[in-house]
Amino acid sequence: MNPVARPRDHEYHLPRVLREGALGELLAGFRLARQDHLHTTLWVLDTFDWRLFGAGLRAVLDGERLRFQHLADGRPAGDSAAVAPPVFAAAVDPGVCDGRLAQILSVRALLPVAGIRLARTTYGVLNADDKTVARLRLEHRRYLDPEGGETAPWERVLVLEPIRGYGATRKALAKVLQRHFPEHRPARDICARALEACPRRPGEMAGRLDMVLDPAARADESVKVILGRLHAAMADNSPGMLAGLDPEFLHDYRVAVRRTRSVLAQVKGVFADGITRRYREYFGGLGALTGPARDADVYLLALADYRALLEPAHGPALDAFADFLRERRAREYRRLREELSRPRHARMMAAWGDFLTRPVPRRPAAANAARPVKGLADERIWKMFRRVMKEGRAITAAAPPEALHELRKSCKKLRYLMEFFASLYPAGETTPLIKALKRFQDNLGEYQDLSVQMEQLAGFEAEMAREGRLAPQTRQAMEALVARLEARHGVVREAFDERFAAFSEPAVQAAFAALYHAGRD
Amino acid sequence: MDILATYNIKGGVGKTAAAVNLGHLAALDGRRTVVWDLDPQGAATFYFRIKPRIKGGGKGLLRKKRDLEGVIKGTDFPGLDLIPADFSFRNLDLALADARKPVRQLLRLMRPLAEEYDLLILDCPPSISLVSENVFHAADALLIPLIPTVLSLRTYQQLQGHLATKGFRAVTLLPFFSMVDRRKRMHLDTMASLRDRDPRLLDTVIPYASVVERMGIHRAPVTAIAPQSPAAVAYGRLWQETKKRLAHS
Repeated sequence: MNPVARPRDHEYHLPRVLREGALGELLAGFRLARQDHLHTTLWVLDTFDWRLFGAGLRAVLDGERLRFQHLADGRPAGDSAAVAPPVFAAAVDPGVCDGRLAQILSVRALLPVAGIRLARTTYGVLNADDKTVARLRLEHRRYLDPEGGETAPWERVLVLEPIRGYGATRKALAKVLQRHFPEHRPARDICARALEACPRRPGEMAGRLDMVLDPAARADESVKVILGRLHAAMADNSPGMLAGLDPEFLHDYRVAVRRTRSVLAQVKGVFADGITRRYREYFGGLGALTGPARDADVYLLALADYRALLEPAHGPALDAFADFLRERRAREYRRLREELSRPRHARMMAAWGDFLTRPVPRRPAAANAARPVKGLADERIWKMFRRVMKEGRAITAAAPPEALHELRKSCKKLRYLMEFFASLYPAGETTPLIKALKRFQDNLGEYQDLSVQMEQLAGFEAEMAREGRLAPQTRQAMEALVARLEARHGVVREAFDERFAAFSEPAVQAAFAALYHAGRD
Repeated sequence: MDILATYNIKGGVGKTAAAVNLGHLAALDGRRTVVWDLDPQGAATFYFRIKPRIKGGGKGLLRKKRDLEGVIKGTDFPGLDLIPADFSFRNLDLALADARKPVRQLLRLMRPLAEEYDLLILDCPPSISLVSENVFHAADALLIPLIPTVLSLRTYQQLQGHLATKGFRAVTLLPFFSMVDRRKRMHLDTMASLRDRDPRLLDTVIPYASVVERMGIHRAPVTAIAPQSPAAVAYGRLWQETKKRLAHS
């Protein structure tokens, strides 16, 4: 490819602190000029679920700027004034990352994932024309975890930064430096070093449902593995949720809670009845407790869409509604923190974690506990699929919204079961079925969301009126909004038949039967 | 890789100052940039404190004895490299004329640089020659500094006529006013008259400033030695405008 490789930085480990004058003495034959001195703490930022990393980017915050760079080659991807984390896309210059930052982050905030305390003095090595023909950077680095805790002892290095076209100088410097500092290696990216020293790995998510189950393993053991992942997801998201860093922490926490309840309710007879009942109730309560805070998040996030739905003249009238929602969000998050800081919550979560890691009983009383998990999964998924079909066929033009709501819940249960047990089936066969189900769910989901929003917006309106903060323009705007949502509601409802027909077509039914009901009647 | 050339038939209009300062600004903006100093006088090379010498000269490059990548020098500014001038470039025309497809030779040499660079800036010698025809063939855009005088506008017209006759229609022209003295009535009138006639004219105007001349003393871009000066700010606007036009060309 390229015959002349760009010269790479090389670093020399310093066994002791190098005094200012000592470097000049070591390199007596060279002209050194001190060019820069920097004493700073750098923070590597990413979202909790590593969205920048996933897009091949990195953000580094120093005292002055928030700089973005390409992971592949370290090339800059724009910078913006420094802002303290949590950093949302709206607070950053929209031109960075080729204008894609808002799309990459969506609602997530950039948070510290690792830090570096850095003292760096840069010396230029000059030729007779005062041209810099190489640079030497004397660096003292200390790597930090996201909370600022030190993860490694001070690192003292001298970095030789060659300049292209001045190979002779590089060689001459390297020769002298190697003699004095025998421990050396190609320079490493300090941000990558800082991340290595931290407990969380880029791209890694503890709560991801990517576990691989053994089809022949006992059902109770396998279900504990699934619930263990969900428990980890709650633990992972809990601090960010309580700090209210960005709305996804609460959202992901709630999804893990809902999935846990769903496992306990759907995969029956694997644990002792008392355990199942107690924790179903507990996680049910947790779902209800976190609901109002999530609602506030949802409506705040929907505001931009709402404004787009309305005539431009109505837009400013929604500002009062936005204020109402922000107050509500603050109140609900406060309540959430209070409730979740009660000792009972910590006790229940810890006991649940203990239960999940405890070995299963050798002779279990629960009927399905010792069965191979694959058979149980087949049975549960097939049963839920048939229920979805039955409920779907019963939806006529005259069917009440509640019937659609029930069907939506059944679809969600089916989807969760398929996802929990996906590793028991060939990946190529589950994925298209999950996709088909998802397309159908999108229709049901939108219908249900619109129903809820229309009702809840009316509720908010009444509440604002009671509090005496509903100006006539705001009332008008909110009523216009409900009318818009109602129109959309009708369109979505009409699309139902077509979506259900697509999901229930013979090929899809046959594929479900072949995968989850093979060899049975 | 975008290829941008600073070009004018006339000399002393601010071509090299534009090439050097835009190169510096592009690198600051995150573009991996290389400036090729095609002018045997080597002013851009001098500004970067680099020796104006290429082993084997222009002939060595054209006869494939040496790759362009092998003669690149790093400047004092991260992300900005230079292909130095060589005194033998004064005979580059003759060397090009000996080659097959003489108008395409420089583009052939530049192509491999696309792997390493996002932007190549050609700082061209004045006059119309085989070298400039190679530039018209290779460049995505010509940045043309114009001093607002009658003679300068006349050479701009000559250039447009030449490009049309020779069929170089693909290259985008980006003329801009350079070395402008706003105290001179004639400068203001000339600028207004061209602005009415030529929609391609960039909005940015580079003022006549002694700080630009001081580049020769400090041997560095004005955007590095006096980044807050009106001239540096004007180059900043010129870069933003050029970047936008390049994206749409």
